Amino acid sequence: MQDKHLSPLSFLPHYADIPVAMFLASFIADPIHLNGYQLGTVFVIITVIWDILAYRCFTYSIEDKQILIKKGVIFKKVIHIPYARIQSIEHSQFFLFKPFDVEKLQINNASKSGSHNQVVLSAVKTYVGAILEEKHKKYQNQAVVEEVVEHPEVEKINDKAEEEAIKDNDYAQYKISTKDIALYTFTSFRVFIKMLLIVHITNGAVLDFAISIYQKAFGSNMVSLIAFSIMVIIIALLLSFIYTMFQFYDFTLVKEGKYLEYEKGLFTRNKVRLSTDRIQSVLVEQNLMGKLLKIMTVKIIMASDGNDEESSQAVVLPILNSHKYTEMMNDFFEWIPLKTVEKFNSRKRSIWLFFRNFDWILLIIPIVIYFVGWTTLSDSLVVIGVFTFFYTLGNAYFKCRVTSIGLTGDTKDDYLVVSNGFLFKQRTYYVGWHEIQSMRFESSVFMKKNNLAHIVIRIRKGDSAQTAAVHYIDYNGAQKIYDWYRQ
Amino acid sequence: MKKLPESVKTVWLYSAIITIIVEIIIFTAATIGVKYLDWKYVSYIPPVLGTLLVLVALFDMISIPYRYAFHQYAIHEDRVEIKNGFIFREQATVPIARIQNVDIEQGPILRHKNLYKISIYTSADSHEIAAVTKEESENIKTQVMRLAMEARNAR
Repeated sequence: MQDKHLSPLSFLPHYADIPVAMFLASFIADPIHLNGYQLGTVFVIITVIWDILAYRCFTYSIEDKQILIKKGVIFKKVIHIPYARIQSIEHSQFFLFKPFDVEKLQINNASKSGSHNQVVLSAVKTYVGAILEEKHKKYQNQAVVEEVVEHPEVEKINDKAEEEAIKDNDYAQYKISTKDIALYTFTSFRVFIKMLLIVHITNGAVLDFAISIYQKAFGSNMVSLIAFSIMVIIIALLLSFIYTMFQFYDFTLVKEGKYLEYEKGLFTRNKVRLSTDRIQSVLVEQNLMGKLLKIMTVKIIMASDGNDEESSQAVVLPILNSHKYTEMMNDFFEWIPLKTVEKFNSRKRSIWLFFRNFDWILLIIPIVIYFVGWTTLSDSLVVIGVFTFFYTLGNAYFKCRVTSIGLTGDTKDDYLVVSNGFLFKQRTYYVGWHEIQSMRFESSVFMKKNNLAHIVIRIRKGDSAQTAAVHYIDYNGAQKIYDWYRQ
Repeated sequence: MKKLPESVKTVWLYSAIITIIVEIIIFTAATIGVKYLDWKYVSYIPPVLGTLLVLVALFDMISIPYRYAFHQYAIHEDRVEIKNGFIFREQATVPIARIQNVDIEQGPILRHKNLYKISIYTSADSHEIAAVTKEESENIKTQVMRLAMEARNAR
């Protein structure tokens, strides 16, 4: 296919440009004494013409070995992407596109030049996506075949191993249930973080509004205040549930041979299919609630051109029960050995160290009180201080409990299991030797005396790095891990 | 493990002195400027902040022999290693196969001493060797890139 244009439906997402143009016009018109509406109309016309020109100038060609994109109205740009370089193709279909059989394609080729080189075909017929997938698959396999020719002995072993793997794990599927979505919403603290954010961004206007409603409706005594707070939390949870429902509607994860494919969403349907060797790391998250209910979330970390949450990290198993953990991990990520041969935990002493590293801030409070004197402000300062004290103490204990680093063996094909905690959430990264970009070993003179060390590794995530660190582990253990990486 | 060339000490000394001079000029000007404004408390900010920054730069200057003594690097067949610090010890390892590109940079002070700064990029992060001589920089570049190509093709 040579120099094809996008589907005209690609104009649809540009509707947002029109209010922006109007807004801009009203902003500019006043100081230069022009009629806001007339200028607005001119701006809208310019925007529309620009959009049409951009549409006219954007073409894509699907060639034998590469996809070729030409774009740019004034500065022309030609982008070549060889199929072998493609990391993954992201399909997303807005529900209005569905009747026309049109979807948006985002092609990730993991360049490091930032998002301006991200390749997005904002509206194409679905068969284009199918063709691209086919070519991508073919070229990926071809790359493997070429390698095989070079090393005939290796090939046999690989083949055998692969055949076995395929027999065992050819196909696995996971479909989310409404109950799981509910669990996923209610066990995460995201709702409260979002609430805090909203209060923060609106400078408390939302809070004032809520309080005014409360005062009008209930008067002001303790019982009704508590009742009101609970009601607000329930409403927030419900809204969050509906939001998550839209996002994870009919979430399916399918593993087929060497490919992982997931699909989700109600209004915009997202579909990503990627080869399992493109996965940089598998991340298992479990917060305090999750620990109590014995459930966790599994994510994968990928290399992509964007740094947005969507393309660099994906939730693949939103809710996973502890007792199904081994089974599910074996079904979907069979290449990851779950058993660690060696494991080094955080030392007991680290509770104090984690605590110390955060809690020195509390010293400011007595100093302030000493200099300023005891005022009404000091009361609340002391309350905050006491709360922070216990919070950080708990956090330090949690961190010490969950921090550990393990190895699944001592060759280059083995995996490093890094587990750390932050704000009552445990994160466990499974990273292969080949996926670790660099490793740092840190220890100060004082730490060495106490036989302690840090290990910090870097993984590629999106177009930048994800740091995974374990602090205050056994010195010799850390040295062992470091030596494993240096082999 | 290799050490940096001796002349890097002079480079660091120059850059510390320049930093201190620039900071003193800026913060003296700011202190005088703020005096003419009638803000309570604000007039304390520039001198205090300035003193702190100058102290930091002074500490940097004094610690040059220490930093020099413990900044080391090594380029092996399969990995690059960089070591830093004695009291707070840091060692980093980057496998050659992970290296994406090597940048060689030279600022005015480095140019004066005919030295080069080397940045080694993986697809996720970067690592620096603060200063090497010209031949050494060429060596590192060719060696690392050759090894990186070999390592990648072998995989």
